Amino acid sequence: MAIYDENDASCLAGKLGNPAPGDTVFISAHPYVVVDVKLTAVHRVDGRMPQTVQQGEQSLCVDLEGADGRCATYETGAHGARLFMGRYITSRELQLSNLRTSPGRRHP
Amino acid sequence: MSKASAVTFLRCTECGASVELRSAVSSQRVVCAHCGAAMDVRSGALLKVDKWRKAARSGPQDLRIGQRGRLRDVEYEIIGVVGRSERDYRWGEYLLFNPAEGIRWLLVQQGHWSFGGPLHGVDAANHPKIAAGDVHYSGTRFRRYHEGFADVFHASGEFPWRIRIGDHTRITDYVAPPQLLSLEKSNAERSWTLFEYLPVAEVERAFDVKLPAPRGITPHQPNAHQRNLKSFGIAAAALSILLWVAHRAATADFGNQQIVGTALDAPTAYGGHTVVVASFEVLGRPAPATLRSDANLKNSWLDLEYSMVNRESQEHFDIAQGLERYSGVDSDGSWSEGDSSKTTTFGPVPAGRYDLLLDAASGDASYASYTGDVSVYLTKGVSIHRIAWIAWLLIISVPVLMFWRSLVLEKNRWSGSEFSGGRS
Repeated sequence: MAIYDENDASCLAGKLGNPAPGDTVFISAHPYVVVDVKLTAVHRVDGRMPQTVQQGEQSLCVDLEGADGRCATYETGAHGARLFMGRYITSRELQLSNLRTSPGRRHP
Repeated sequence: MSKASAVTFLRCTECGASVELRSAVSSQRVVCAHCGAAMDVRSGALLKVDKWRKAARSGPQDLRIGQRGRLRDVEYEIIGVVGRSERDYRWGEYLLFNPAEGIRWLLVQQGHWSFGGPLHGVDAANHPKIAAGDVHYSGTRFRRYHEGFADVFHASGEFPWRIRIGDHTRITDYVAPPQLLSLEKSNAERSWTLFEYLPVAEVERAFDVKLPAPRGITPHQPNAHQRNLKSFGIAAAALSILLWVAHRAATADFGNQQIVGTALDAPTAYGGHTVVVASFEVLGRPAPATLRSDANLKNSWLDLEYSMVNRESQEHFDIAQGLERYSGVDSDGSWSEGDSSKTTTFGPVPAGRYDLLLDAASGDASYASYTGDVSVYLTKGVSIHRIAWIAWLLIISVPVLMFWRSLVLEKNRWSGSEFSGGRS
């Protein structure tokens, strides 16, 4: 997941305007389609954060999908605009180990 | 496989009963199994109870929440049930959960089952042609089958989104049997789900239940006739070649032989005397023979009694042929009946020298004898052609029938679609 700076995100904001599912934008010459637009709120904060996060803080999140597993989230809120870019992977690809056990279920 | 509980509990804010939470993912909405009240998991806020209670009574009944089943080598647990409708058409959707795989769907439409999961990047991969109709995914062309609006009329269990009774989404289905690609659009979301048709027996095995038989045809059910057509076609082609080779060998061995081909001048004129049609030699292994007689009858009849006699053994084959042909004109117009030609197959005829003898008699309305010619054709081994043709027709009848049934199934499949252009 790459985090793009505010300038990139602001540029995307201009392209998106009033985002709606189905809208297409180009990021680094690749088409991305808006698939989800929602207002999110911080429900709980634990641990150390790189910035101050307040409980109840709201952001507008726009999820985008590209071809070949590419994905992005454009977020705008109290901390300005940010663009997160990455690709979809399965939990198996993460190869997590030493997971907390889930009662009644066997971990893969 | 452990069957121990993987459940945590909430207290229903309406009736006080324990409400099970089965999913380790962050469920957002849960419906109390006791009173039908729906709650937000995080806030515990109660939704309109009466509406949810009414909806709770009308849900799909084939499987129940908490049942576990193994599909595609993964064990899933049913955590939610959704009933959806489009006008009078209703179907069920079971929400499955596995900690490693996440959320999957089990869809039931008129007893037809499908297993599906979310897909990402379909829009971008088809950009900018998505509006053109068909969709391509992973090298497969999915044909647009249906567009409409689906409403949620029932929801029970827990859901990782805030489901509501009456949720109204636009759905577009694309098919490439046995797969169905479904696009759901709302004001805030756009999602793709890829379903694969599951035989009902597979669902029965997975969940150890007995389920009703499927009814009608569902858009993406596999065309079994089409699937088998290729292998049966290849088998039919191979059998046809074998038959041709066997036929060639058999006819060569039987010594297919044109024995007699002659025209007799007014045979009935001999009045009760036997006519020697021909003397000839039959060659090769014993084989059926065919005798054909052609006359030119007009409102008269002709009885031909042949005897084919072996000169050495005196063994003989007797063939009687009755020919008659009548025609005329009455108040309904012209009419005709009977046939001036007759073919008889007999034998098998062994090799040897033979005489073909004929006694002929004829008559008409005025008791006059037939004075025309009679053409006589005798061939040996001819009927094996007929047997070969019948065998070949039987061989190709299977793939032809399969092809026809395949066409009928496809016709019925697409008769349910508003996009006739889906056929290519």
